[in-house]
Amino acid sequence: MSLNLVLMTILVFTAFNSRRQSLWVAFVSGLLLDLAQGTTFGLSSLLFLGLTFFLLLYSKRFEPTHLFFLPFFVFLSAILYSLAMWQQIYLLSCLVLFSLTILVLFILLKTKDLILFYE
Amino acid sequence: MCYHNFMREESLKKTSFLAGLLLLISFLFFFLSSKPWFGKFLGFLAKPIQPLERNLLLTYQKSTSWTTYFSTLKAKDQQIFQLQGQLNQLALQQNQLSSCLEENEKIKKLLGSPLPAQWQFMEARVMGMTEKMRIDKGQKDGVKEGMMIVSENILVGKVIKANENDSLIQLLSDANTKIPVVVKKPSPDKTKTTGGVQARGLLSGQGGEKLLLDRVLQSEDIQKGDLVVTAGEEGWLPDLLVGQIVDVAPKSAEVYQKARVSPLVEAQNLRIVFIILK
Repeated sequence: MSLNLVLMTILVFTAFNSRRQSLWVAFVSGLLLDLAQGTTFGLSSLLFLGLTFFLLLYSKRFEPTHLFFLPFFVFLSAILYSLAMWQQIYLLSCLVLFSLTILVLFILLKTKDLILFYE
Repeated sequence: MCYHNFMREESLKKTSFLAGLLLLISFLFFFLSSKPWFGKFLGFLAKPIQPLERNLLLTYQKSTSWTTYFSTLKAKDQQIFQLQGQLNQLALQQNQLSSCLEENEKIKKLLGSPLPAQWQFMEARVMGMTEKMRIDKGQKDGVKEGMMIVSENILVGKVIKANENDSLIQLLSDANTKIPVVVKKPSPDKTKTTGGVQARGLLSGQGGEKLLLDRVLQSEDIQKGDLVVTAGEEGWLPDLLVGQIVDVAPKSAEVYQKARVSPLVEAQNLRIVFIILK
């Protein structure tokens, strides 16, 4: 059972940094992940790009860093990634990713508030 | 307001254009990955990653062996005391041995195992392990999809993807693994089987280290301790040890009976395996 931390990092990065550079991060990370895992080259970057682009579109209208949205999006993305890569879906690892996203989101939002406060 | 909307639309267009372009490049890579010449290029790119992966796996295996040592300390004090004495002796010997000696030990066991003499083997090192195992031999070494992977005479898995310099192995415990098997009585040292076929069934992976033996007729006799061996059907080579029955489900009104099987080798701890080339 493995945690897809790369996917979580890319989506959290995109949520906090809703710019075109997130697409480049998703593209390059996907290629590197395929090289490291030995899976079909280009497949991970396709998935990451699709998910990142969807998140960018969502961020144009709504708040992507909302606690009720981003963790669920990461959870569903992890399941979708496992399906697309013909891997066994480990619900436990997806739930752990869900919890990790809440934790990371909470820490980042609090840090952002503190920085704004001191500024 | 109009200017703000205009700027937002422009930004969305640029984002969509970039996303489309990168998606197109990814699609191109995806389709090119099946071409041999592109595989060679990928093999060249992946080469620097292999030593790093191997070292990461070794570090992980060493760390998990330490947690096992501490978790069994309370329950098996006497056994651990004896093992410590043996470990000290082995540590003295191991200091004098190189990794080539380990390879020689594996090759000797493989040669001594009851496998057909006409089979050809190639040694491979385990580089990585997630749901699938990754080994450091690929197409350029003659590895092809469908080849079996063994450790001594025990089946470990099957090659499902052969890249230029490495290959992916589907393990026995993978949910997609379905192997026609036969059940036989074990010899005293559990490395061979005795007698004829007790039963026939289908072995499937359940994830983790679990295996399930199914489709065994109720009339056939299977017991705890029996060995499970490949039947040689559906592309799997025959007479390769797979596991040992640990628990037989109580007889019921169903046509087939089931049993839990424990693999004879822990794939997570393997460092050297052998590919059956022919």
